[in-house]
Amino acid sequence: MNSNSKTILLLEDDAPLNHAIVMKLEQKGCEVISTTRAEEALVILNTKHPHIDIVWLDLLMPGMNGIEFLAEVRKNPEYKDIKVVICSVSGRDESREVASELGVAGYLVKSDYDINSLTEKVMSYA
Amino acid sequence: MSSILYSIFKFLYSVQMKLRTKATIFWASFLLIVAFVFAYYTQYVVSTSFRDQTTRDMRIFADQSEGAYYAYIRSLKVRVIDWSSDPSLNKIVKNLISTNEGTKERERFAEDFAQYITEKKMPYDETVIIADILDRNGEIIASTRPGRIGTQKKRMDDHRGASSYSEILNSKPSDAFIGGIKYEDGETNEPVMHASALMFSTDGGGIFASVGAVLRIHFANSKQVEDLLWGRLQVADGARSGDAFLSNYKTSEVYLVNSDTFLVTPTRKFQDTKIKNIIDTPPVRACIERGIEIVSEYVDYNGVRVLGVGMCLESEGLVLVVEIATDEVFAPLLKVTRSATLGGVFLLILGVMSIVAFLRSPLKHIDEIIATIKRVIGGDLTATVSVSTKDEIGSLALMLNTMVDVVRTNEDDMRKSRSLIEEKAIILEKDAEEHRKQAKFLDESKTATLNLLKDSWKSKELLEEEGKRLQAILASIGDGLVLIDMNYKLVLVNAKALEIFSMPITDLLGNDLREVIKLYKNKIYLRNEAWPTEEVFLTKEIFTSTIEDNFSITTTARSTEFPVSFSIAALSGRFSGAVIVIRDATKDRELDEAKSGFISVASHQLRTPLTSIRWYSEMLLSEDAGPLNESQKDFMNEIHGGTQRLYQTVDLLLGISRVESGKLKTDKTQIDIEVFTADITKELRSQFDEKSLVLKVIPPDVGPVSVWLDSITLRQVILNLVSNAIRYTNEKGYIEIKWWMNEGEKREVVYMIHDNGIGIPEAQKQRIFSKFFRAENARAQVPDGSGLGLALVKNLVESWGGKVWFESGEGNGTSFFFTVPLFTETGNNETEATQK
Repeated sequence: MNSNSKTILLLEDDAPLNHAIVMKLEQKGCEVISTTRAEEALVILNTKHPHIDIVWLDLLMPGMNGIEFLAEVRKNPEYKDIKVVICSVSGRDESREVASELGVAGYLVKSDYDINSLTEKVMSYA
Repeated sequence: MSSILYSIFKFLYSVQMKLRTKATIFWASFLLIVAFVFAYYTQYVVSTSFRDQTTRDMRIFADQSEGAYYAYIRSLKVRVIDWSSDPSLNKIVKNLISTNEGTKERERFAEDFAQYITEKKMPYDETVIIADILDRNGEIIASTRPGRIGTQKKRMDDHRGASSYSEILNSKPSDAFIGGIKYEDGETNEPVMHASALMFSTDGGGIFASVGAVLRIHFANSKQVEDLLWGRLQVADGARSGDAFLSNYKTSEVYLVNSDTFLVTPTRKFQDTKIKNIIDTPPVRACIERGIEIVSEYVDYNGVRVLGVGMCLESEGLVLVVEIATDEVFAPLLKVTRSATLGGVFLLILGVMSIVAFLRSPLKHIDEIIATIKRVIGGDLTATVSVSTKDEIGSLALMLNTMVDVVRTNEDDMRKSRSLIEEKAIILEKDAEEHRKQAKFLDESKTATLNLLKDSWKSKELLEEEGKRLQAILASIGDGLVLIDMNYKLVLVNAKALEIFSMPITDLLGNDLREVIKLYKNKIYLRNEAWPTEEVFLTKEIFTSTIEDNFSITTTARSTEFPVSFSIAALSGRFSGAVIVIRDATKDRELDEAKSGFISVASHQLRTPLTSIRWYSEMLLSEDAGPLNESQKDFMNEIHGGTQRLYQTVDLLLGISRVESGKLKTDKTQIDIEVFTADITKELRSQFDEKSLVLKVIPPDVGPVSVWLDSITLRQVILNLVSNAIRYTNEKGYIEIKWWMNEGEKREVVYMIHDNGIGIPEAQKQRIFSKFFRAENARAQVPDGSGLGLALVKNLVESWGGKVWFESGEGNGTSFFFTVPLFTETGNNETEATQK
């Protein structure tokens, strides 16, 4: 893994989007651990957190949602170095304020970017 | 009668009318009743007396007529006896008897008889119509009417006064028998009377010997009998004279009826006795059937109501009837009644007039007394009554005058006393003046003290009243209302607040609000110092929270947190504290959450697949999946472009629905318009350059202008308007952006985006802000617009309390304007309030 390579935990419930992001990030040399469920992401985090640089977090998901996941993450001091970048489908989610209060590295709106710029933008938070 | 009078009296007593009228009615009624009773009595007595008198007269008359009739009968007997003892006749009859039946001799003797009677006897008595000779067997052996010879006497009892024919045969000389009056059919139409006597011959020595035959004479003498009854015929000396009684009465009748109830003498009505008239009236029936004589009133044969008397002539088989029409009998009574009625009416009028005349003076006096009393009541004590009659009214007037005099005297005395008192009062007043002056100082200080007290009492009363009114208002308010002092002690809690807190008032009043209620913001407990009340106490400005502020509370009785919205206003002056109006926002919150839920889900569900399409088309275009030929690239570009437009449309639609549903989430920051505008134009640089458009941004002279707004919202507004300007301006066109302060009624910033583009057609200006509407020339210029941009702009501008409008002419460019109300240094309540 070169110095550029980042490990990103991708939490995106929509499978086609998840797949596209994984492809684009890997194309750009990132290591991607992806899941569509927040509960699973917590399990992954539990074991692999020391390697994870960024969590790519979608907000609206079935089961545990992005904010709840973020709250869980923020509860654990071991994860304090992990940067969370929210990539929401909308810029006007009600939870945006809550998210920034809980502490996120970035809050991005998917539609504001093409896939290329978006992945680069996320990677830039590392 | 007395009961009628009593009822009238009672009625008059109770009814409201003048005394004069009452007296008149009473007197008239009295007279009327008296007159009625008198008339009735008179009628009864007089009619009875008249009837009795007339009856008596009729009886006397009838008795006289009866007497006359019997006298007449005696005269007829004399005639028969005279005839039966006629020597010539006796000789003829002797010869007749001595010859055998059927011989010529006998016939000749019979003819002799007829001739003798007809020539020697009948001329002297016109009433004799037939004379017969009967033999011992009762057979007619000679007759003035020869046809009768040989016939047997039909009925042997036909001879009244003789029990049988043999009685006649055995009678003594100078006996005669008179039968009743009968109609003898076959012989004559007239009623006929028979007289029979045994034929006697005398030998000259006074010895009578029976010839052995009976002479019977038939009289048709009804006219004669009539005259006899009426008194026109005098039969014997000493008989009644004249017809005074009957001539007095024009309707009087006297006649005879035989036992067959046939009228046998003429009457006033029926002069012709040849016609058989049946008279079947009560006196006739009484005589024939019961042998009694009666007086009665009935309807006679003539149909007239009569008073009649019947006399029974039993031996003759006749009834003598005397009648007078009741009308005539009682004619004098009618006269009496008529004059009595006339007299009564006259008496009535006279009586009423006399009572009116009598009452006239006393009533006038009473009226005068009443008028005087009225004047006295009205205060005129000089009023007197001038009535001086020597009766009760006079006394009343005198007493009234005396009474008024007494009152007047008292009044005068009082007036005198009053003036005395007044004089004394003046003296006292002068004395008092001195005392007053001395007391004035004391008074003034006392008054001042009292005034102070009064003021406080008045205020207390006013306060109590206000308090009551306030209580009523508070009770009727639909929101909870709480009044606290500066130490948060609860002073007042209305019913709705009790309901919200679910607590009894006793647990609230006097307690610290913060001990009873725990306040949370965003579910985080607020310490005492963090209560917004503190800020309100300091600034005296009203604090208002809405559902978005996410306040919630728990109370000692409601331990589950529930959302509230409230406002706090400081109270200053006599009472320092705050009024808190609070509302349970549980329902609002649920609705709010439902709306948010829908929009975020819709937003997510629409955008996610679009993002997917977009990214994959981008990846294909980047040839991540291998190289594409030119037409594949073109196709992919079309897909990508379409997706982008759909994305924008969805964004706009969601934007509009957010604003419309009040779910627009805003995060206000201070924005320097010049910097903000520069960022946007920079972003759009490439598009300006693409069409070689000239852009001019003109900031105001006054220097930087800042607004307190949500940057995303403002960006969407400016971006949409500038994008439109670019889109609808031809190449090498001109776009100008300008803003300035408007210091009108409302301080605001006006922002303008002007272009010299295609403009808006006049006919379509009205609909330019409608959703999905696009002007025709705009559609021609840019076919793929959504028609949602301006609708969103309008919604957003209005969401912060601004206005948006435009000036345009087709082909002459367009200027869009919007306003932003200005903020204050300490924060922008105005904008903040309107943006929520």
